[in-house]
Order: sequence, then C-alpha cells, then structure tokens
Amino acid sequence: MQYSDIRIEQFRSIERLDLEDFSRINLFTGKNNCGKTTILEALFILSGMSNPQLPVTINNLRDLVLTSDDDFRYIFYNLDFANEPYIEASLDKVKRTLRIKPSHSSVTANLSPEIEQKKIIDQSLNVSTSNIKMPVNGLILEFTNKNPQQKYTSVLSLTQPRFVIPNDYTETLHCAFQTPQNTVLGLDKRLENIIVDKKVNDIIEIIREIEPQVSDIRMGANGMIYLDIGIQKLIPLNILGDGIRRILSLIAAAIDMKNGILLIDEIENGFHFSSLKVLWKALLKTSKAYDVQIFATTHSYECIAALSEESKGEEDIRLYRIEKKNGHHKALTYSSEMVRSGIENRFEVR
Amino acid sequence: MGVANKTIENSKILIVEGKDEAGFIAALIRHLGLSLPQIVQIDGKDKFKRDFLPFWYSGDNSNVNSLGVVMDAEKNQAASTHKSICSVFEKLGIPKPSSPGVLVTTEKIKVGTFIMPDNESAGMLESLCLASITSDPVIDCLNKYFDCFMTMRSAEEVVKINMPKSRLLAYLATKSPYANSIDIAAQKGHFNFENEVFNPLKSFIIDLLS
Repeated sequence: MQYSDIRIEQFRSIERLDLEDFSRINLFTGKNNCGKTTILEALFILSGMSNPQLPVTINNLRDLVLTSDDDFRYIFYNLDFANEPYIEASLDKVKRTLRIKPSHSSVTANLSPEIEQKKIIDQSLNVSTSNIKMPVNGLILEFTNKNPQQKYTSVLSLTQPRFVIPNDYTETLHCAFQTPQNTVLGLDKRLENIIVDKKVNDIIEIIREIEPQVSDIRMGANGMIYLDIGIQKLIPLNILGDGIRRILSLIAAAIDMKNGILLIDEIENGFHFSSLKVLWKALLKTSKAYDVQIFATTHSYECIAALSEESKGEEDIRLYRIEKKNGHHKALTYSSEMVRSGIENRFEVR
Repeated sequence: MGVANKTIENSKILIVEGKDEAGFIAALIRHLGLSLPQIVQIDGKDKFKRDFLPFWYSGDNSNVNSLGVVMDAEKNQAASTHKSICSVFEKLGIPKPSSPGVLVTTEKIKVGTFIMPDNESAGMLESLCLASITSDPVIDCLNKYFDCFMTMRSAEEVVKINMPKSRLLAYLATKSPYANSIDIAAQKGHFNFENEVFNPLKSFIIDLLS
C-alpha cells in the first residue's frame, strides 16, 4: 500500500500544506521547526485514524504529557480549538480523510448567589464574548475511507475517561512511527516475530554488512537478543554499538510493516556517516521486498547523499524540502535525478 | 564528504556554462565597472534542465531580482537553446524572455538569456572571442597552421576537433603572459572588450545587472 499525496490543514503549526507524487522512499528536509515531524505525525494519525489514542501518542513522542483534555489544543493550529485539523490522502488511489474536532461537555449548574448578583465567576463560561466557550472534554475523530458519505467516528476523553472506536470499521493499514527515542523499543517483539516467520536470514544478511562475523540471531530470556559471531558464546546485542542496534531496529520495523507505512524521524540519528549507506541499502532492499513505503526526516547532507548513491537511479526516490515563510508552509519537490544533481553540484538540499 | 554550501547568496544571479565562461564573464563585468553577481556554473543546456531546479531551490529565491543565463548555442541555432532554457523557467513560474538577448522585466525580477556567440548563430564563447581578434595579423599564421593541419589529418579526425576552441587556444598560446584558458586570458587582458563584437553581450549584462 502506498500513499501518493497528502493534504494537511490546521494541524500543529501547519495552516495548509500539500505534498504530491510520493514514491516508495520519501525524505523530508528543511530547517528546524519547518514542520517535518508534523508531516510524519499527520501520516501516522491518518494511517491509524480509527485509533483515538494516536493524538496522545504523537504528543508523548514529543515528550508532551497530556494532563487534561484541554492539552489536546497542542495539535490544533495556533493552539485554537476552533481550527480543526483536517488531513486527507490517497492510499492506492483510495481517498481517506480525517477531521479532528474538540468534544464539548455541557455545563449544568445551580444558580449561585454570585450569578444571581450578575458576577461572572466561572472563567470557562467566558460570557464577556458573544459565544460561550464550552470546556473541552475530549476529541472526536471523524474519518472516511473510500466512501466520503460513510463517516466513522472515534472518541477519546482523558478526564472522563472515555475511549470509543467504531465497531463497523477495521483498519487494514499498518504504520509505525520510529523516533530517535523509541527506535530500539519493541525490537525484541518484532525480532521474535521475524524469527517465528523464518525471516531472520534477511536480517542477518544486512547485519553482516556491518559485522561480517554474524552468523545467527537468537532470542534469550526476558527479551534479550543475542548474536552468534563465531566465538564460544553468543554475545548480547546490547554490547555492540548503538548503530547496529538502530539498523536492526529499523529493518525489523520495516519487515513488521509489510505492505504498510514506516515513518522515521531524524533517520540519521545515532549513525556514523559511513553507516548511512549500509542503512539505506538495507532499507531500500527491505522496503522493496516487503512493500513498505518509507517517510523519513533528516538534517543530514551525508544521509541524503547516501540515499542518492545507494538508490543508484534504480529506485525512484523523492525529497521534499519543507519551507516555512511568513507562517506559510510549502514543499519543494526533488525527483531522484534532481537529488543526484544537488549532491553532485553541492547545492544545498537540506 | 564535505558539507554542501552552494546556495543562493545574491539577488543577482548569472548562470554560465563552465569555469572558462565564469572567468571570462567576471572579467567583462569588472571591465564594465559593475558589481559581480553570483555566477553559477551549469554545464550546458541538457544539464540546465536537471541542475537549475536544485540550484533555484537551494536558498531563498524570492529575493532574486536579476536572473541571466549565458549558454552556448553549440551546433544548434540560438533559438533552440533559448527555448530549452525557457521550458525550465516555465515549470518554475519564472518569467520567460521572448527571445535571446532580450530581458523580460516584471515588478519582481529581470530575466534573460544570452546564447553565444551572437544570439542567432550556432557556436560558442570561443566563436565570439575569435570574432574579436580577426584584425590581429597573427590570424593569418593561425589560418595557415590550421590549413596545413587539415591536410595532415583524416576527415574523421578533423570532425572530432572543436575547431573554435582549438583555434582560440592556439592563438592564446602565442600570448604573453601565457594563458592556457579563456578564463585566465580574460583576466590577463588578452581580449579587447572594447571590440564591437562584445557590444551585444555587454548591453545584456549592463541591462541585467543595473
């Protein structure tokens, strides 16, 4: 399954952004705070649009802990609940849409002596304006898939607490969101699945590019992962470098997302530039073999150069340079050939 | 691997074909007493199609108020090269000049192409430079040398020779101080920029950069 485009409206800092002509491998570049991660988040919640937990997840991935329903405003443009986020995209030519709305509670109260005396004491009622601002007590995710007339609704409330998913919709799309903080989390479970599916040789072949002595990967107790490097004992993966763990994690995630979507924030994080070619070689191979569409962000010129070199003109790639000017976002789209030209001529592409 | 550092750095941009053209044009601009624009090398009209966009996207292009492209016609007529460049401009929403040597001016930007040697004929920068030295008596010697050369080589070999380039380099080989490229020759003052053959190019540059 592959996305071909996306429209993002009123989501986090993005008022509106259209991205078109996605390929299997898509890289987002641009200055800090230009909205690269927000695009991944939009793809993530759209891919799991029936799951009302995802708005919480994307905030947690930014180390934003939501303590009340009012904190949901973090995903609304300008932090204003009136700006309802809207995301639409085409997945294998089938349009899916998602609108996120605040859910308001009704306010009932006995008349207090203060109100009787015409004193405003409840700030949440804010009757100094013409509209009464009702407190937000959760989110409503209204979405469509294929049939625009068939609307489904999911609901999440932190304070009540409430979690409602539609019982007549089943999501078939797999999507994982890997950040520098969570990359290696869940590796044990994913690896276990890969071993059970007898696909471990696919991973060993890739790991040998970095550690040629590796002949086997085994699972131990408590989720420990061991490598056989030809000595008397298996060695725990954790004593090898961070880079090998990260590559293993990303490849395992790609395999786990078979026929789905893999989102990787700051893909270069934790890698020496010499390992970036190995990483891309592995991701290009895995994404093709398992039909996984990859969206990644980077600030690294070496990372872009490594992808350009490893794709060798055989794999069609896209680079989107995200720019934010006067509060407006736009994407500059590079084809594979233009990425190669940018690298060869040393033009700035980040 | 180093860090990419080429980006849009100036509000006035001149795209040229290579190092020789960059050095020649820079010397001409200095001769005219104008400030140097950002001179960017893109090697030929075919590469222009591929390379201009990454350059145009490499920085904030909204501040660019002059954009000129100086390319060789090579074996084509100038109009063909001009059209090829304009097709790239069109895709990027850059105003298209109507013909080579003519600037299109909008509120935001002036855009033009100059197709060597004269906005009409096939040829290249070397052809223009050769046209500027026709009155030099040493040209007779050059002609004799090349006439002799032609009789010594087969037609197949001769056709592979870039004759304007070879003739110009042979001419420059007789100059002192020695200059083994147009770039260096221009910087050492071996071309008379006051020769009228340079007038169309000078007018184009003055209009573009002023």
